[in-house]
Amino acid sequence: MSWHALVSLRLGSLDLDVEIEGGEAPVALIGPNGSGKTTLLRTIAGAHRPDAGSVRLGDFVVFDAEAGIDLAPEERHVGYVPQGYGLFPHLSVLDNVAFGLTGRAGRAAGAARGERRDAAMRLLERMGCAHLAARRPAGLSGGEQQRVALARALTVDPRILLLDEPLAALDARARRSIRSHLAEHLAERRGPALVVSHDLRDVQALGADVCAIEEGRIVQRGTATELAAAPATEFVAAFFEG
Amino acid sequence: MSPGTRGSGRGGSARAREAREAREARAGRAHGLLPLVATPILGLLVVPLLALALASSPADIAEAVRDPLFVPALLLSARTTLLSLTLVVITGTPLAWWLARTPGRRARLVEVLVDLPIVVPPAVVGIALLQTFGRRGLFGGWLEALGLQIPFTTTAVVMAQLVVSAPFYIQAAAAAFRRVEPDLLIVARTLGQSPAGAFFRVAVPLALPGLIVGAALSWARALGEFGATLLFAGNLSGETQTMPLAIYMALESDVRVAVALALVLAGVSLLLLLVLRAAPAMWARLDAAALAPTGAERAGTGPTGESR
Repeated sequence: MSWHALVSLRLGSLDLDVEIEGGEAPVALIGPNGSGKTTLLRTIAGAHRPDAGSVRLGDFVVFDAEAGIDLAPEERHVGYVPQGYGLFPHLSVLDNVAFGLTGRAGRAAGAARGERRDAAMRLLERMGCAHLAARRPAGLSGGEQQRVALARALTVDPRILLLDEPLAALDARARRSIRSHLAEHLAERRGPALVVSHDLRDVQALGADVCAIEEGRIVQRGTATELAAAPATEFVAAFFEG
Repeated sequence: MSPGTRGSGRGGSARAREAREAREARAGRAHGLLPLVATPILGLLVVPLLALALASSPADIAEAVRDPLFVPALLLSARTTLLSLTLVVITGTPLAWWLARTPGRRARLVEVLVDLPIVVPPAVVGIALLQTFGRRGLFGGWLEALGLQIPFTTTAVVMAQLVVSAPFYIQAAAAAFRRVEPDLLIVARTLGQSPAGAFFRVAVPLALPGLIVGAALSWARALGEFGATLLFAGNLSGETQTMPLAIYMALESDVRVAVALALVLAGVSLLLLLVLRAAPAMWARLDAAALAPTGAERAGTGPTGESR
């Protein structure tokens, strides 16, 4: 399954104009602060409407300015995990995960409340965090929050996972183990993912193709080895120097 | 007041120490002046309420309750303020949401308009309402053609309360909605919620403490409304004579009844203030309590055992 996004969008002082695509392997999005990484993720999720362009996930067009197609976020089937994980602080872990099953997808499947909870519980088990079901997000470690957020994002059968700095909020030790867990999970899932990262080791662990973005433009793309060998900009060079 | 009570600057640089000493010296001077300035104003805030309490006896209050002014005014105040509060919440919540979520000059302009009734004197609001809905007002002709009369009716009481109290709720609600992280709403949408679903299932629960505080402030303001009501709705017992107006009336006949009425109103307000002050802590405790038992129950019913 492949995906493709051609996005042209002005938002405040940001002038975003990018074309980006990927397949089943994750794509890492790197770039300085304010370069448009988060805006691109949110645009693919459907939170911002591009002025022009198109977004295709598999053979499913979720946005096409010319054809007048603009699906709402709830119709796009994207798994969006924002910076800080975006868990709902007023809901328990189980209810956070069940939340995605109570939306359109859950209703369409006609699942009863109990069934939705069982499904949420199975997902939590699969992510190794069933024991957290009754807890509130505020009481979880960064790694636990990340797993729960990932479990929740998977409830919508996402055509693409959009992860905004999934490892940024963790301390160095937690980061190592959670990085490998995330890499394993993404490899096992074999679904598209676009992962914003600030850390070379994350990119290497994910085995991701890299897309570097600066001031709203893609400045370089390729494998990590390619970018490291011939960095196109100072930022890319500094990124691969680690 | 001992200098260095904060005592956090152990081993700080010389410059940091100098800055701290200067700060403490300034604070010391302020502390010297503080009681001089603060005591009279605090006294002025508190002493009259104490005097009010001391001026009345249980017998006086019992008599005031039997006064023909009392029950109609109390019932009217309860009825009209609950209605105006309901209307404020129903119409003010979407407006507050829009204000919180909309950047740009247009929304800021609307914000200023919302704040107007806070700075405009209530008597001016009363006259303005009269000039709008009165017989010779802006809409007077249309209202008369429809056979509707608004001034000097209970409807006018509710409208006056609505105008003067709405800003307090809208401001507090907008501030509460602003604190809801936009990313949480995007997540809710990607998880299948419509805009309304994201609003009711994520934004409202997270903003609820702020919404309740705003509603309580707004209610307190409506309960005390006097000037706009007097000018726009008049002072008819059972129809437009709310508690504050009844106090004003009673003052002309029997001061004891006025004092007792005032005490009842002050008691309600004090209760409201206490609830407002205690609300955040109570909220946190309720939240924790609500989660604990159901959480245990959930963990019991779920197939947790298999996972470990």
